[in-house]
Amino acid sequence: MADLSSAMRSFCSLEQLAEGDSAFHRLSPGAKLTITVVYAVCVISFPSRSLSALVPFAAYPILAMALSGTPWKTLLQRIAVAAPFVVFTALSNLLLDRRALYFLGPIPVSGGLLSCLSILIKAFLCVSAVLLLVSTTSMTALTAQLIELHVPKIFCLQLTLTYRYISVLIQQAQQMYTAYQLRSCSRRGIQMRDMGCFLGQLLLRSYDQASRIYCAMKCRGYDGTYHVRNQPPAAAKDILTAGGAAAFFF
Amino acid sequence: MHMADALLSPAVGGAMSAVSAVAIGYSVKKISGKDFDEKQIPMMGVMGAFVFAGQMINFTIPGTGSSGHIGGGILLAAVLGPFPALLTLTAVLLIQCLFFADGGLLALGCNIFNMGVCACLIGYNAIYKPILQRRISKQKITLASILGVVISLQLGAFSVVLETMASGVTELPFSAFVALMQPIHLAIGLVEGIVTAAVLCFLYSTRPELLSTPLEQKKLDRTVSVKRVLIAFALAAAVLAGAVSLYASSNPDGLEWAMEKVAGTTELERDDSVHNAAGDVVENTAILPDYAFSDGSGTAAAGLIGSVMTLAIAGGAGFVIYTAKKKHATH
Repeated sequence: MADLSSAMRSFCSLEQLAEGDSAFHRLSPGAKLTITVVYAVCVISFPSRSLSALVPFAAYPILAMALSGTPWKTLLQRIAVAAPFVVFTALSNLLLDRRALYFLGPIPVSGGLLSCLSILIKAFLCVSAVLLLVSTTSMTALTAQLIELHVPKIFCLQLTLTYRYISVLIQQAQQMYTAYQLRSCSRRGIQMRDMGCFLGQLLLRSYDQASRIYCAMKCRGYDGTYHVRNQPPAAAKDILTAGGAAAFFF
Repeated sequence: MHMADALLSPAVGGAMSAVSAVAIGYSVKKISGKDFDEKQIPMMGVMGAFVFAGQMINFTIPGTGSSGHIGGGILLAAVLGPFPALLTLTAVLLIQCLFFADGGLLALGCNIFNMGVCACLIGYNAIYKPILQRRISKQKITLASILGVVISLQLGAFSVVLETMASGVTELPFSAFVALMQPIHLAIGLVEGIVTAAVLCFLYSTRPELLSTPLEQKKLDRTVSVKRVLIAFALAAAVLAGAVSLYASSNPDGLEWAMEKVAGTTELERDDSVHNAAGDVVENTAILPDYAFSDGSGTAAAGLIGSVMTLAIAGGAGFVIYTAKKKHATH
């Protein structure tokens, strides 16, 4: 199934990127998380018709991508598939607000055009900042950072497990899908009436898988607590970078 | 139905994150309480992965030529119980936000509320559980899941409308937005509800204990959970009302119009303290409020040239770093 295999591919490619080594990769996950959140808050705090003020914010993704050696193509592909809802809202602004605010040469510029572009730029900037974060930081490091930030350990352990087992379950779903296709006489896709059975089977498989995982964890001494290696304290360079970036965005 | 960062204002994003954080904190407390079952953690982890894979399996909707997929909130709550289900769905939404650009970090709070809290806590506790509490049968499972999914999705879609309106980024009038979102999500909800019902009926005939265990657990602390849902409701309502009033105070056109109809004047005596406080919050959260591109073509052209130059400098610097790195790698 196209969806399933492309999901697998994107996981793998982001995970491989996160293994890389560059000045940006070496920053602590905490510093990168801070930079991303401050950046996103700054970007979305602009009023709905601002445009020129938003454009300079593209400097951060451009520079960070160059520093970390993240290929543009991967990120642009991700951004292209993201959030049809944003595009819908942006276009509705374009159609609803047609009053020309002023003329740029012979071209009338309407408020709707400005707010439409503004929403699209904001979406582009926020999405690229988040993708930069995950393409330079491994999920393990991010989870450890979340624990450091006092996010409940139960949630973090469960997040790690979900992340780890997505590929396993996608593989199982793919096997079941292939088996279904081979028996369905050239009809494409899964029929809605078979969906209960299909998803139900997948759910039962997941349930049994979880029981086996629990037994395996028990054999290795799991007692309901989640142990992580202590994170090294934030280095001066991390604090400086995060602080400097935040000040720059403001 | 994922909300995106670009459609939010910082005030709405922050308020919804706070509401969702409270719901998650409560769920964690509830799960790790005195009857904590350590087996539940791997179960939640794998079920999260199941929902993730399940959302990617599209099925053909007969007679329409289009396809749909499940959301999974009610399904998870039916198998795991409401609180573990909320945590599980939160993890799924976080991973989708990070790896698939669905939503965004600041919109995560909104998405957890719209898709997680509405389905796992409100839809499950208010509809699914009461219908199945006394006796489970296939008919009742079907009714409970269709109603549960439809109502959770309606609540979720309505929250999306409120959050977007409160952020003030869309030109769509409230009524048109609601008239657009609710019927679409009614159709989606019906299809998703039927599929959820089919999955739960399948589980009921193969492993009935999977469905009955979460329902039995809840019988013990029924009063507590109802109270909690009510509190969550009240809290969300208060926060949303606050956010909407912030929006209204910064965009008075619609209000003034309504006031003129009702009172015959746009001026009204009022105690300004709350209004001023709200205005201060808006002013403080908009970091560069006066930097907009809307006051005349002269400034606009200057702004355009300035931003293109900044972009060019940043792009040039990026290009230099890229080529330098490449050269370094080949040496």
